[in-house]
Amino acid sequence: MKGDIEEEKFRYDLLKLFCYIITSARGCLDEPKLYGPFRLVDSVERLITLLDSEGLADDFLKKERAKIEKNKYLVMQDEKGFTKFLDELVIDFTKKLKEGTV
Amino acid sequence: MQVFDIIKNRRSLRFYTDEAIDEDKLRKLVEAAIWAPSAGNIHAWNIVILQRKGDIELVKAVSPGMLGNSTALMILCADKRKAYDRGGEMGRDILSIMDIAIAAQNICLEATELGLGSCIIRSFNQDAVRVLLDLPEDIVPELVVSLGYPRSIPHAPPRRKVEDTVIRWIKEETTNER
Repeated sequence: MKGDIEEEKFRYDLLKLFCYIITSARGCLDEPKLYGPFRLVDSVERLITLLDSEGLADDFLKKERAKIEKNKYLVMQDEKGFTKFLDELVIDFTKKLKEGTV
Repeated sequence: MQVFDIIKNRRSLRFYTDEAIDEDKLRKLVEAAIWAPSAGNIHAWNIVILQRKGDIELVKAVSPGMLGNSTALMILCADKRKAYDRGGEMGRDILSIMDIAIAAQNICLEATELGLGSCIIRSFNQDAVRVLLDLPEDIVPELVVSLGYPRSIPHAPPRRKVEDTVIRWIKEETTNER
C-alpha cells in the first residue's frame, strides 16, 4: 500500500494531466487541425508515464510510449510520416485489444 | 558570433539540462527584449519570470504547447490598457502582440548567444495562466519563452530559398546605355 504522500502526489500528477487535456481541448478550437491528433497521442504518452510511476505500465505500454515519444514530433515536419505513425499505433493497440489481455 | 550566425543557429529547443540559469543572464535576456522595436515606442508589455520548478510545472499543466522541460520561463504579457490608451484599438489588438513577438525573438537570439536554448510557445490557455500568476485582467499573457541549457541541439529543418520567398522584387531599371 502506498503512503499518503505518494498517493497525494499521484492525484496531483493526475490533476495536472487533466489540466493538460482540458486546455488542449479548448486550444483545439482555435489551433491548427494537426495539433488535435498530436495532443491526443501526447496525452496517451503522459498517461502511460503516470501509470508507470505506479508500476502499472507493462512492457507493451512502455514500448508504445517509446514509439510515441520518438515519432510524435513528425507532426511538425512530415505530415505523411505522422499519419503513418498513427496508423501503426492504431494497429498495435487493436492487436493488443484483440489479444484480450492487459 | 555574427548576428546572422546567431539567427541561423537558433533552434526551438524543448529538452534542457537541470542546470539553473544565472540571474545575470536572465537580466540580459530582458534587456534584449527591451531593446526590441516597438510600434509608436509604446512598449505596452511586461515580463513574468519563473524559475521555481513547481511554478513552471503549473504553467506547463495548462500549456499544451510546452513540451519537454525547462529551467526558466519568460511570460510576455501585453498591457492592454496602456496599449489602448496610447495606441487605440490597433495598438491593443495588433501592435502590442507584434511588439511581443519581436521582443520574444530578441530573447531567443540573445539566448543563443549566451549558449542557452529557447522556444517560443503560444499554445497555452491565457485565462489559466493569468489565474495561476494572479495577473490583473488588463495584463494578458501572449507568449511564453521556455529557456534552459540545451541537452542536445537538433538539426535545422529545411528552409525556403530566397527565390521562393520574395513574391515581388521591384527595382529601378538598370542600364548601361548612355
